[in-house]
Formats: sequence, C-alpha cells, structure tokens
Amino acid sequence: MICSLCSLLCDQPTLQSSCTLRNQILLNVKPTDGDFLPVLDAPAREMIRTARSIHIAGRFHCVETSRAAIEVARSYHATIDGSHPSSMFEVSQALAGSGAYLCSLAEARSTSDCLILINSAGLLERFPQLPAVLNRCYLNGPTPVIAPSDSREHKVAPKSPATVLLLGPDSSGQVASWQEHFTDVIAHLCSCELIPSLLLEIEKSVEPMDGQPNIGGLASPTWRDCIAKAKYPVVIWGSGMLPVPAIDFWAERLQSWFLQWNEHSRASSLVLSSLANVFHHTSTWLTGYPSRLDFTKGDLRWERREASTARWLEKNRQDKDACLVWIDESALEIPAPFGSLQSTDRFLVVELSASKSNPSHGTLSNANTLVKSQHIPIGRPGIDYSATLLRSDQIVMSYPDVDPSLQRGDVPRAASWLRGLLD
Amino acid sequence: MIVHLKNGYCVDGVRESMIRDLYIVDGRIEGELGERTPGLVIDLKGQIVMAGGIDMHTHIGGGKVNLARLLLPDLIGRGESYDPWTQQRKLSSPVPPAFEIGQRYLEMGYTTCLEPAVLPANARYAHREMADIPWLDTGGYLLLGNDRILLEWLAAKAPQSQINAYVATMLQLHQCCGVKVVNAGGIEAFKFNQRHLNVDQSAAHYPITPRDILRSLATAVDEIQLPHPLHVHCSNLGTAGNIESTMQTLDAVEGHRVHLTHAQYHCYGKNGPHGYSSEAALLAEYVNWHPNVTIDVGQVLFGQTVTISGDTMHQHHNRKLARPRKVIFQDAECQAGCGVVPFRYRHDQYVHGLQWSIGLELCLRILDPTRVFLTTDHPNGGPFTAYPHLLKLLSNYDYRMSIFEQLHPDVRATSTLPSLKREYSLEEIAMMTRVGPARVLGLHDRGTLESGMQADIAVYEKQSDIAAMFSYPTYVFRRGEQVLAPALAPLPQSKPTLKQTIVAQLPVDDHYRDLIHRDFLSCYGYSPSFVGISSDELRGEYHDLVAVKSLHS
Repeated sequence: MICSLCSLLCDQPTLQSSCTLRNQILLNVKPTDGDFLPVLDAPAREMIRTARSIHIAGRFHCVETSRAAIEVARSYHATIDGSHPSSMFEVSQALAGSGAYLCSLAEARSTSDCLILINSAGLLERFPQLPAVLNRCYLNGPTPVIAPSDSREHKVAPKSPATVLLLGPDSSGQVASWQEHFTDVIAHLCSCELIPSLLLEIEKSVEPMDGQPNIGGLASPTWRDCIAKAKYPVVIWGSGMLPVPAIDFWAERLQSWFLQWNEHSRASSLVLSSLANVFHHTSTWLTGYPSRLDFTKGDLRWERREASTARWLEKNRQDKDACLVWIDESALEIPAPFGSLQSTDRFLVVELSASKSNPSHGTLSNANTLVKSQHIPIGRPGIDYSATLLRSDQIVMSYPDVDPSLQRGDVPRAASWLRGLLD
Repeated sequence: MIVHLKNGYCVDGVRESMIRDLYIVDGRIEGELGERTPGLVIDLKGQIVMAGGIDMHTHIGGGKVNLARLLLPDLIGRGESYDPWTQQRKLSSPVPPAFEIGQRYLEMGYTTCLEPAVLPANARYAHREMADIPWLDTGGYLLLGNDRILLEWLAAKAPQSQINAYVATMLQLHQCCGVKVVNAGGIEAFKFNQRHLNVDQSAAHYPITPRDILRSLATAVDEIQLPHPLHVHCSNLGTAGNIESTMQTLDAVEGHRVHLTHAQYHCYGKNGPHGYSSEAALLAEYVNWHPNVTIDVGQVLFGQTVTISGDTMHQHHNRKLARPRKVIFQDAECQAGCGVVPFRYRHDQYVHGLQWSIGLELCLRILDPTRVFLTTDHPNGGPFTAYPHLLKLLSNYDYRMSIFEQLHPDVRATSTLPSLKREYSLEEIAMMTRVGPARVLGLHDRGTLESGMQADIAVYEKQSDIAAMFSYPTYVFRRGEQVLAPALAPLPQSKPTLKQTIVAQLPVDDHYRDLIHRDFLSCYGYSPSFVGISSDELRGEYHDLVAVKSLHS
C-alpha cells in the first residue's frame, strides 16, 4: 500500500507506521466519516451553467482531476489556475527563466554525500518522514528495520554516511530529528533569504579546508567546508515551505550557484512540491503552459497575472453572476485557500472539497457575507480511490490503490463530477 | 460498415505498386470482398494509397519533454507561421502540446509513434502524457544501461540469465516495447563528475566499461527475444571524431541485433576544415554489410529547436551553445538523467551544414531502405513536420542541390553529397517510413497494405511535388475509421479503439524476482509495484494494448 497523505508517497510499512502525520490522522478517523449525505449537486451545476464569469482553481492532486478541470475550463470559456499556493507557480517560472540543475529523491539519497536542507522546520512539518526517506541505509541496510509499532525504531536504524546541513532560521531545533538518521548533522542559523548569497561565496576546494578562518564572518567554516569538499551536494527545499518574500528571485539566485558549481563539480537541487503540483505538469502537456489558462475568448491564452485566482477575485468579488469553482483534493487541513471573505462579496462558490472539516468550507459558510456557496464532497485521490499522483520530486508518478485505513467509502471523484458538466 | 477503396494506386513497398481495390472490414484490410456489399465506396482515382506512417523515434512524452515545455513557454507561437526551409506550417512550439502532436502527425498520414527514452521511474508519466495524444498508437523504449541495479550487477559479474530476467521484468513493469541505452554508463559517470567516457574506458564509479554494458544488454534483448533490437545512442554524441566510438559500439554488440539511433550525430571524423568531417560513407558501408544493424537518421533542419536527451554528459558539454541561454539538467532516480538545451541550427554554420548533409548521405548510401529510417529525432534535429520536405530532398536531386548550394562554402567544398545522384522512389519511401519501422518493431499487424493488416491507411493526391503530396493526405483511416477526409479538419477521436499502446509481451523468469525486489528497495526506496504499471491500468488510459510478442512466438 502507498500512503498518499503527503507527496513523499511512502510505500514501505516501516515508513508508514512511524509517520507522525499519518498516525495523527489515523487517530482522528471517526466511524462516521464514511457516512456522506447524498450529493445535492443540481444547484451547483446550475450555478456554473448560468454564471457570467467562471474561474476554476484549487488543489488538484491527480492527473485525472487536472485533465477534467482543463476540459471544463475550455468548454465553459473559463479561466483556470491550478497553482495554489501561488509560490509553486512562481518557482516554476523562476526555473523557466534561469534554468536548473535538479535531481530526484532516490538520487539525493543514494548519490549525495552532503544534503543541504533549507528551512528544515517547514520541510519536516510537511514531510515528517523526510529524514528516513533520505537515509540510504534505512530501508534496506545491512540489518533491515522491522519494528512497525516500535516508536524507538528510528533510534536503532542504521544511519546514512551523508552529512546533513540544516540552513535556516530555527535549524538548531531540528538537529535531533535528523540525527536519528544521520551521524553528521550541522545546523547553521541564517535567514533563508540569504542562503543563495552564502552559497555563492563558497568556492570548491580540492584540498581539505579544515581550520581555515571564517570568511567575512558570515558563517562558520564547518558547514562551508562540508559543501566545498562534497562530491555531490544536493540542496533540498520546498516551494511552499520557504519564508522568503520574493521566491522567484530567490530560486533564480540559487540556480546561479548551481550553474557555477557544475562548471567544475557536481551539485543538484531537490525541489519538493506538494501533490497539487501535478496540475502544472498535466496542464503543460495538454496546453503547453503550466497553469493560469484563459479560455474566455474561446481560444487558449496564457495569462500569468490575469488568470490567477487572486486577480479573478479582485475583479469579481462583488459580481453575483461570477462563479468560483474551488476544487480541493487535499487530505490535510491547510489554511483557507482564498483568504477571508469580505462583507461585500457576492460571487458564487461551488466548492468540491475532500474534507468535511476543510477550513475553506467553514470560511465560505460565513453568514456575514452574501456569498452563495454550494459544497460537493469529493474523494481523496490515492486514499478513497485509485488515481495518478506525482511524487514530491516531480519525476515519479504512482497510482496508489485505496488506503484501507482511511478510505471513506463511495465518495464522488472530482473528475467524474466535472465530466458530468460536459454532458 | 465495409468500405471499398476503389481505383487507388497502392504503394506499400512489399508488393508491386499498381491500381488495386482495397476493402476495409472490421478495421482490417481485405483484398477480396466475396459476396459482401460495401456500405461506402470511395473512388481514389489519381490517388496514392499507402499504409499509415510509423515514426520509430520521436520524443513525444515523458518528463523531459514536459521540462522542455516548462523551460520554453516564450517560444510558443513566435515567428513566422511557415518554416522558410521546409515550407511547412510551423508547430506552435518546438515541443508542442499533446493534442497538436497527434493532429500534426495525422495530417501527414502517420498513425504510430514511439517515444524513445522512457525513464523507468518516469514511465507512468510518459504513458499518461502519451494517452492524451489523440489518434496515434504510441509506445516507448525503456532506458537501461545507466541504472544502478544493472551496473552493480555487471560489476559483480552477475550471470547473463540474471540480466535477462531483469530486462524482461523492467519491460513488463513499465509497459515498454524496446530497450534503449544512452551513452552506456556515461550518464551515471557524469553524476560522479566524469565528463568523458569512451567505449573501452572504465567508469569512475563502477569498474565496468560501456562495452560491457552494450554487450550484456544486446545479448539480453536477443535472448529474451524482444522483437526490437537494442536501441543504442552511442557514446560521444556530437563530438568530432566520434566515428571511432560508434564503430567500437557496433563491435561491442558482438553480432547481436542493434539499432543505432540518430546516427547522423555519431559519424563525424575530424579531418575537415574546422576539425569536423563526414564519416557517413564508413557507417553506411558497415550497415550495408551487416544485416544485424539498422539505423535511424536524426536529420537536422535549420532553425530554432530544443535538444532533449538523457545524455546529460554531452548535453552539459553543449550548455554554452544554448539559444536562448538557459538549460535544465536532471539526475533522475539512479537510473539516468536528462538535459534540455535549446538550440538553433544555422545553414551558414559549417558544422550545422555538415550535419544536414551527413543525414542525407546516410539515407542515400544505405542500400536497403527497410534498414534506414527517416527521423529528425524530434525535436533534437528539428520538428517531425519536416518529413514531407525531407522526403522531397531524398527523392529529388535538383531540389537537394538547391538547398545544398546555400550551405557554408566549406561544406560545399568537402561534402560528397553532390556525387550521390540517387532519388528515392515511392516504394522506397514506403519501405523507409512504413515497412521497415514495422518490421524492426515487431509490429506484424501494420506497415503494409496486405490482407489482414490493420486498416491504418493514408491516401495522398498524386503530385510531382513530393513535399506537397506528403504534407496533407486526402484521407486517413485509423483502424478502418475515416478520421481525415477532404475539406474536413481531423475528426475528434470518438472511438476508444482508435488509440492503443504498444507493449512487449514476454515471459519473465521468476527465479530472480526476490533479488530484483530487494535491490529495488535498496536502490530506490520502494518496491517494484510502486512504479509498476499493470495492463489494466494502461487499458484504463488507452482502452487497448498492442502486444509485441517475442520473436518466435
């Protein structure tokens, strides 16, 4: 079985049973979770069919939903923006602008001798099993770890010989988590924003640099030496997990380090994304563009700003004939997607969401607004039904079967509901 | 409904070309109708009838293709709407979206296309993407030869039976119909900062040579009886003097069947005025004398394109040639990698002109057109939409020379192209673009107009201008369904049977199953089932599969 709660898509029982995120969700599974009311979707369909302006947005977690959403957008002359949070889109644009040196999870785990984690706190919150997944000795070391219910298992797990560098504002607080899987863990407190500049100051060393003085007082020589001596350093970061104001500029600066470094040595970047990044990929092969598509004039136009959800809301908040179709397939409670509603808002919302307790639904039900909303419960891809998901490194696709521990029965699929609009 | 194609001049490269009636019955071609009555009769007087075209090497799906799209949205819809060299309508981008790929292939009468570089970990991605290409049957060749499991086994001198079981298992898991090796061992070596690897040179990380890898994989492909021979992208792509490693590669397979891909990029000497010269004659001579060898050309066209290749080592060499100046490299899952480098071929640049002439030289020097296939290695050499133009170059000496005269003076001074007066006939075109690719892929249900063949048929209006003729067929039939007809845009793909995927159906030796499972977990952190694609899953995407069976089944 493959766990689809986060985009690491772990398929080993050892990883699943020791995952804090999974265990927390399993604790909260209630027997009533499978009891869904019959879906009253006729009003929702009517809202979409009669709307003057339609915008489709959200967190699309599988290829099947992404395909269907684009087909509906094309057919209804709508705009569509599958880049939530918007930092995903900004990062992809930055990489398109400057180029990139990338790698996948297994490559980082097996090839790298120096893993550089940027804002480890944010990464671990989203991917609690990241240290285990990056430990090349864990799943199939000399002594396989088979202790699914033993909470101490990490402490006895074989450790990876790679060095881990934690760069970020509260990196020292993360050391213990990484030390469960790596012997050498070095934390360096710094602002994430400065990291590309710090890396650009490092020069590749052929000889060991131990004992050399700190350069410019910006960092301790220890972590810099590790990078300088590494044969294949991998910088690991996530687009939605970085507290930097201009992520596109940040990503571009970071890539310039890779361009320089790969002139003489090897280095790569592992950019971790959420499951929602599948939309970028599906949209790109279907239309040529990663997201923010505008079909309002009949043909396809790529509108990086005008077709964004933020821009659509700006223009249509007070239009009672404008309809936002919000599709949220996430199994996790992530902060409300389109901000707090305002008392003057009048647009229509058709919300297809996977979780009844999704805070976005709560926001929409706010009685103080004039927003008319309709909620359609949908299944979670890879949990309630089989679907094609993209792993966090954006290379490996998997097709998880239902997750028996979390499955909620016969819940509608977003793709089927959307295709119903095309009939 | 039975369709009667009447009075068409049938050219299939197998039987004598002549005016002949064909019948389409239940999606298949029949030569006789007997007592049955056709529901539709189409008079094809003055028309050429051929089987649907087969492109056996075109990059149309998978992560690397999409990375190129992500890198180059600014090239979409830019410039003239017609290509000044080929006179063809330009694609919207060097890497167009799925729908456009299907439509434009169909508009040339092509009905089957193969993606040549499917990374195992990315195979599901490639299949999902290709599922969205309408009308075409698709399939892929699996990238092996830089995957750590195989390299470790070869370094440990694993028995050939173990390698065979691994290759068959990987094909089955990832639903591919061929095995491709790209710069054997070189992609992996580049991850360890080795920037050059010759056929007999030991790699930095594993004590094995590319020759070991090639021999072992070619042997495996033959011993598991995979119809498509080992598909080889040689070492030292694009490097002056690489004919030496190309010949060593051919020698390394020790007589096993081998398909040399985009051969144009692999037959350079270093005697020319700029340190580059053509060695097409040498390679063509070798192919002519060795029936175990087939090639596709990888013809270059002038203009903007993007190169996408698993060969990160040599793509990295080319990074400074990128136009626009940006590149993407990816080291992927201990299996391979990819490099995306946008590129512009210029007719007035010596090496580019030389490459153009070498591609044509190969086609003209290799005697048997069922063993040399027309490709541009789309998009690496140029767009697949250039095929009608290329067919005209091959079939019209004067036209060929009219382009040649515009090349760099040093190309004109040194190339032997003017001495090659051969002009391809329609029959030879059918052999190069239909019969040959079908044979080399083991697709026994297509490629000709014989009775019993699948009714993938392209009908062209007979014209003296071959490029104009092949640019737009008057009719195209897919499995007997008329999907393109005069004055009609291609019909929407309505029937699920109009699209299938081609997979190898081979027995797998279960003896090594546990070992493969264990090494998967060790190398990738997941079990084979994580990336394994079941036939049912694939049927859900494509609705149907075409099984390429072992050679003797």
